[in-house]
Amino acid sequence: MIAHTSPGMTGHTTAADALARAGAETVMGGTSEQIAGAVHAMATAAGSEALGPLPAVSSTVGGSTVVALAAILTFFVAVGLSIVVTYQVVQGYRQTRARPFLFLAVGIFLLAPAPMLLRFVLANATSVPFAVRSLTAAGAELLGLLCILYTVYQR
Amino acid sequence: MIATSTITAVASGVTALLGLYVAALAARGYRTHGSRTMGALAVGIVAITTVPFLVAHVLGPALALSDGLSILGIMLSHTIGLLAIYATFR
Repeated sequence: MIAHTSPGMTGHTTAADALARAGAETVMGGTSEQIAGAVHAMATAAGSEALGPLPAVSSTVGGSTVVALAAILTFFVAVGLSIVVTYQVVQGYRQTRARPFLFLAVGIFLLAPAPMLLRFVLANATSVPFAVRSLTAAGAELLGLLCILYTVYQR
Repeated sequence: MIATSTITAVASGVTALLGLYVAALAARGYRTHGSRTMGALAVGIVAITTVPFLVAHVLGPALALSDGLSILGIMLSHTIGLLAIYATFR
């Protein structure tokens, strides 16, 4: 997804460029990884426009700003929904005290909100390398699936 | 030395495959017992694990989708999957 420019090629950075670049730089290793990068890039772009044009590092195929903003909005909707769903399953466990419900709650938490929040926080608040962020999120998803697998076997 | 993108792609692929397996088991539970919860769980798991992998590593490159569109597709898939689970646990 990254189309590097030839050496010496320069351009100007706009919010759309930065959003597009963020998507390309994260190279589909994860899902919210890219959104996290896009949000980070948006903030960077806002700063860069105040300071004036910056030299472009690479040209990308990131898509339009509208699509990028729609993706960011959908990301936050998905995070909110994942937290609501986890809460519902936890409530189900509290009412029934059934062990499969507990594993389902843990599984859904590890499958949906945990990887999204992990990628978002690690990408924006720390300097953890991309591979570590991505593998941590994938590990959480795998553990979540194993918990759900237990639930499915129990029923 | 294996490239970082390869390692992350393999990790995503393993997650997608395991997701497909768990979803197949849940779908079988839905067919056998008529459990709506299991049916919704099957749809949700496929939408959260398998579809994003296909969009990112198969459809995106094949259709030359922009990164923005790919991300939007992945996030929409997540949302649809979560809505399916939400609907049965409400």
